[in-house]
Amino acid sequence: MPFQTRFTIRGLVIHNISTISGFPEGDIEDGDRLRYDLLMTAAQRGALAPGFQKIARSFVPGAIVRRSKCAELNTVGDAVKLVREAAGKPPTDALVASRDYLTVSFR
Amino acid sequence: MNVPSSLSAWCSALLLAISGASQATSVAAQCSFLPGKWLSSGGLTVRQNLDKAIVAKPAFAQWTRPAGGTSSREIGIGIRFDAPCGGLVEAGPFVEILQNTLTEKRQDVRRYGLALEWQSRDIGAVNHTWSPFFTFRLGGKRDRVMNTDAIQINVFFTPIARGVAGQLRGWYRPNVITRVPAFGGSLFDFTYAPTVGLENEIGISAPSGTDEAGRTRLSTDGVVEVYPLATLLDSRVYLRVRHQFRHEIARWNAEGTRSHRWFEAAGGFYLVGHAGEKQTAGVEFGYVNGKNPEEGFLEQEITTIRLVLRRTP
Repeated sequence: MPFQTRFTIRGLVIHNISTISGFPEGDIEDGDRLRYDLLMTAAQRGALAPGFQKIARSFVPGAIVRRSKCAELNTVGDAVKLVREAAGKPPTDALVASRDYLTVSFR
Repeated sequence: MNVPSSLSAWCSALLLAISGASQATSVAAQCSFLPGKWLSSGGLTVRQNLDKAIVAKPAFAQWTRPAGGTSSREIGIGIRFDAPCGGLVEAGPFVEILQNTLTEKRQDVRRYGLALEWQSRDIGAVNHTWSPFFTFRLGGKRDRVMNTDAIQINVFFTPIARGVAGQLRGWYRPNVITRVPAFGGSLFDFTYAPTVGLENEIGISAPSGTDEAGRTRLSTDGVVEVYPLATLLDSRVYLRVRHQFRHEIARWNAEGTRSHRWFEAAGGFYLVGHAGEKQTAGVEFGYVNGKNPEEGFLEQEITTIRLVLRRTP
């Protein structure tokens, strides 16, 4: 399968959701509900937090994304909004430094 | 108070477990202790209680005063205020009030202390398909029915796995939703959450004439949720079965049975919204049978019907 992750906030948020839910990135859209369309339990939604925090910290060192906030997320769009706010509200298509992100994505 | 050596062994195991977080440095590194961040990062959680049920139940309070009778109350409120930690850790002080004077065997417990939740690995990272998830709680418990005070030190463990897009081949994975397909939709969706833990209670005061008691319990907790015809009904109907088993593996100055079972069956449907949405309204039928000494719930059988309104700020 071709590598399709885009190194933007939205692209990496969808990549993280795809990894944990098991749905392909190409099938995930902003309006999808995490619980009902992507079949993610509250525990899995909470488990999005470490990945989201890595994305946010690419923009704001020390940025915080809480497990409890992730567990309450409704849609993919809400997830993008949460990470954007933690990252200091850059545009959703702002580029994330891919080398730095790939370094932390193995931990 | 005669404290057996098993307690010190248990404490050693606890310390080992915590320091086995020798990545514990990474736990500390996840938190910021600047006072401003506590207020600005919105870490307030309010719900019925702070245990690990799959569907987080809203806090509630009920007061009934029948004409010519005595008034009664049922309250379930758990409040936690998390420190501005992120990612893998949630930590902060909590307080819980669990009270039910509607039934003959009353429940009236206050719990307070510090709670820490720690997911030891990022399952969104390349190499990890599942992660242990630990809950540590240290605090006090005041049981106003038994008139006792105790210190509680609890550790719970549950695994969290990656999903496989709801496919049947991932049915055995814990904390994952599996879809059983039929007619191009879902016959039913199901998920289960297993938890094991150690609950340690050290009595510090009790009614005169009795000794302070202490107990170390091994606990198991299994929750299964089923959503029949999930695609057709949009997961608005659910059934939940929960079974807890506790066995006292060590105790001192304590009497009574060593093993305790607790069973809950519930079913309901959402009239407005779904579980997990910000505003929901629904009806839930519940049945409870057994004993939960952790929450001061005495051996009894209760059937309930509730209208549940929930709003998440």
